[in-house]
Amino acid sequence: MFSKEFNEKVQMFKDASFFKHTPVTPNLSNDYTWKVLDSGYPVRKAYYDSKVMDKIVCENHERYRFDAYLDLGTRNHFPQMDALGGGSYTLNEETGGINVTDAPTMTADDYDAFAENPTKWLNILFQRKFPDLTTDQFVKATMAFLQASGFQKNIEEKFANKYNIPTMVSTSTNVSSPFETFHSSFRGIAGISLDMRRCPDKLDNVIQSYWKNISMGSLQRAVGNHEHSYIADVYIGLIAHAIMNGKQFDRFYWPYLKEIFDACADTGSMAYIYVESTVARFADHFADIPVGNAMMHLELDDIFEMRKALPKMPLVGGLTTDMLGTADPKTCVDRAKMLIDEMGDGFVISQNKMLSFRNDCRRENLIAVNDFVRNYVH
Amino acid sequence: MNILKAVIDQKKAVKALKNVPVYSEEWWAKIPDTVTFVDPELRPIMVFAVVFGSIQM
Repeated sequence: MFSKEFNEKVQMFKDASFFKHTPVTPNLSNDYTWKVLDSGYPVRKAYYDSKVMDKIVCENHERYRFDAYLDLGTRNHFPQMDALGGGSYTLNEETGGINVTDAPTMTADDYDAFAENPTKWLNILFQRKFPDLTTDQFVKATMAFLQASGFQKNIEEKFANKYNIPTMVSTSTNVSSPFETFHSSFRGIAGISLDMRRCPDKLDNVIQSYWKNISMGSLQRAVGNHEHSYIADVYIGLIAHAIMNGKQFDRFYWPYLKEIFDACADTGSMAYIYVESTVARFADHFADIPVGNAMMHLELDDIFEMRKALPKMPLVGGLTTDMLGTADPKTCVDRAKMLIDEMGDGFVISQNKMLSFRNDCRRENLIAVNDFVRNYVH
Repeated sequence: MNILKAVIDQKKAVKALKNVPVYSEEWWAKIPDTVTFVDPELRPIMVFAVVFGSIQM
């Protein structure tokens, strides 16, 4: 079905996940919104016209030629949210920035009822978020959802067939620890921070219910299907751990990650762990994940220190936005060479943070680094 | 994320949660049938997917 070149690209990343030597280090794009700003197209057109977004991601690849991508312009909620009457995201057309408002839809008093019937409560929270919704708006939102799904399918196929380039992992396989959903969507950062202290048993109960009734089904679907063109099978986002101490992490967060990793080990699946902030203080938890069942993308942690802490974990990242956005090409290339030489096998080079803002990167730096990485045989 | 802004927004949000009208069961029952461009068997799944995704956006 796919070309030899495409399969070799996928294999290059899989080899890195098993610490097998690859002559060239795999290069992964962690660019989400910077590519829109780099493109020169009007920001609003990019998010509301899929033909424009298609041009942006294709021209981006033709310029920078990464080996795989985390995003192909598919993380775009605006059309669906506009159809529903607006959501938590706002687009600043002048800067290209996307702002998110912390807007919880539930209180701690709702936890017990939510735990009793999570599916019913998803509908209640939806109603709270959109109290004046009409059926016409819902139908338009469904059309926007289908159009977004269609765009994702088409652009991923285009990259596979025209450029022989894979996508790292499907967004539909996001099976993070349930705490993340309460943290970012239902209760908000401030709310859940207080709940961990004020009503830990209620919080624990609702998280367990969410895991059992909603997350487990998603996990089983993700690890049960290897007939796909992605490199990894499961996406795990680590964001909320940043507000937790060790005891809180062990109670509210880790048990569910462990189930995900156990499921990956049982089924020969690979989890792509995307870490925001730092995770070094919890590193020991990840030490026993078998080689080949996970890969960890680091943001603020020192990648060399994490290599020592987790010698069996393939690591992704190393190029900071601070450097890519302010330094000159030679400095960036020197850093890339040092990373490749020091990290050796079990390493995928990438940007540490999601490239989001105009100053996160300079075009000449990314071109220089990618040209170097593509040709540095070691 | 500015924690102070988050706290202020939450207070406003919690206030707004009181007296929010709840859609009736009749309203929900109509939704799958109105998305007639989706295969009938997939309509409930589609409704759930839109609801689930939209809460998090």
